[in-house]
Amino acid sequence: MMKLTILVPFICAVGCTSSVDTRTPVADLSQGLNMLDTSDASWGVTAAYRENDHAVYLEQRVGAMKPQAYREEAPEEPANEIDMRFVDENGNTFFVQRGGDGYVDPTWAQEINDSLLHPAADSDRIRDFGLAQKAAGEFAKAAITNADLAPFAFHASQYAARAIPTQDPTMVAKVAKIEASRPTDTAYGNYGFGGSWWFEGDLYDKGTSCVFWYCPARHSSVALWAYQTTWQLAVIACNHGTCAGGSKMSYDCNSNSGVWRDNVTISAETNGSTSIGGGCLTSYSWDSGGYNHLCNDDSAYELWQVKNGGPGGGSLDTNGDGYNFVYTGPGTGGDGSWVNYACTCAYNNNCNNDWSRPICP
Amino acid sequence: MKKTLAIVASLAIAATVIIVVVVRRNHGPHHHHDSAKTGAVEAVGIDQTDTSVSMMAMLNAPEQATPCLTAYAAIEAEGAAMKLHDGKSMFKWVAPKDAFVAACEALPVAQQQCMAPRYRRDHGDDCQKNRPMPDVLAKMYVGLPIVEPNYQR
Repeated sequence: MMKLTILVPFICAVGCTSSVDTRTPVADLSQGLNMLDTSDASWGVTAAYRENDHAVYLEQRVGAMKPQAYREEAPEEPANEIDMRFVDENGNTFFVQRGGDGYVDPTWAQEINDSLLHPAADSDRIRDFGLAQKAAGEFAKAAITNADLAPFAFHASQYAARAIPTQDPTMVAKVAKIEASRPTDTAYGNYGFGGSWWFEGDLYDKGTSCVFWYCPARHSSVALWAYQTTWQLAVIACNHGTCAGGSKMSYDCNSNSGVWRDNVTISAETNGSTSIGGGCLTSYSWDSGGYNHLCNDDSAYELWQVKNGGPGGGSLDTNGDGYNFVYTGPGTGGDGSWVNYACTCAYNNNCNNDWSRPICP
Repeated sequence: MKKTLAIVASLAIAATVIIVVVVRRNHGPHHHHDSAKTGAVEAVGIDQTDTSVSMMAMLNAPEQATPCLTAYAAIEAEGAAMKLHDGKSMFKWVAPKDAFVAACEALPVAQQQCMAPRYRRDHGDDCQKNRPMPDVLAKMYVGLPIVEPNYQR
């Protein structure tokens, strides 16, 4: 008994501290920026930003090392793919940026889907986006002065430079169109929290491998937005390279769900017919004719899921298994040539011309 | 005696607990760090594609006395890298050195700077806004449209 009495506090001291519970309660945070966990820069960082009695949490997680070609082409960006998200004071994610195909911390996927079940009141979510902008700016300023944390400053500073959705003229204009499409018999009253969603997918791209004034290929990325009665959640799919909305990326076009959807999830290609917005899960390679894909295949898949509410529908064919996505259609060159995007190109008559960005369906 | 030992042991454990808690508080929680995630596991083969080899060869070509000479040195480096790689150049045609350099030096200074690959990378927006006319560029080089390998099922 005496041995047990001695051992219990010792064991607890070593193992009872939760490794995930790094989000300090709002009341215990200082006003302004709080660095909550910067102990392992190879893993990521967690910070919080408090203003009066409210706070948001900023989390970044380090993923795969980018190929040397990407690192040399964009040396100002982090060498690794990095996931970044903002979480509100209730634990719900309202902005996430995914570096690759899946989340570095796989628990994020479920948490993000759970967030769709718990949308915030409009005024709270608008406040959250504003706090996130302040958090990102303050975090970037602090991180850039620390050699270990400097790689985490890049995406934060890019976020801080964005307008929050309710102050972004493009997003405001979208709202007007979306609200005009809301069925009158169900306006507001029946579209309550936990109910229907409208999805928007914005495609951005840039030339890649450019020398002189010649860019032999293009990198694309999709910003997916989920709207209810305000913008509730953004999922930025960077597709392994520069992220949508970031500097150097140009806006191309937009796809939207066109209808209000219920019971949606946001995940990657192997999920069911209600999944929206995930990227391909096959290997990533520029020789995308094999059992693999490249960024533009991801973008095509993400946009078609935004439009169609998941795999299937339109000219999106998944061979019935939600995996063998393929999109065939006219290309962006304007010359009538056809393109073929797929997550597993070898299963789908090969990929053709997917070195260029897709069109928005 | 046993009682004294127990008290001493308890005090030692309590001290250990305090130390561990303080250390954890100072350094944050321990993370389960999966080192595989920092490997280039998703980007299979990207660095070996012709386009990547071309771009990296040009970016790493040595600096010459002028941007136009640097540009031509980059083209030579790209050609050598492609030969070594047994790949296809990103250029369909490149002017002979004298003609290339002469056409380059006829450009405004700001455009000449953009001919140096590293400068162009670091000043991409400015260079894109300051693009020469296509017929001017065609006197120096013609890019090769990318054609992907025709994989068979």
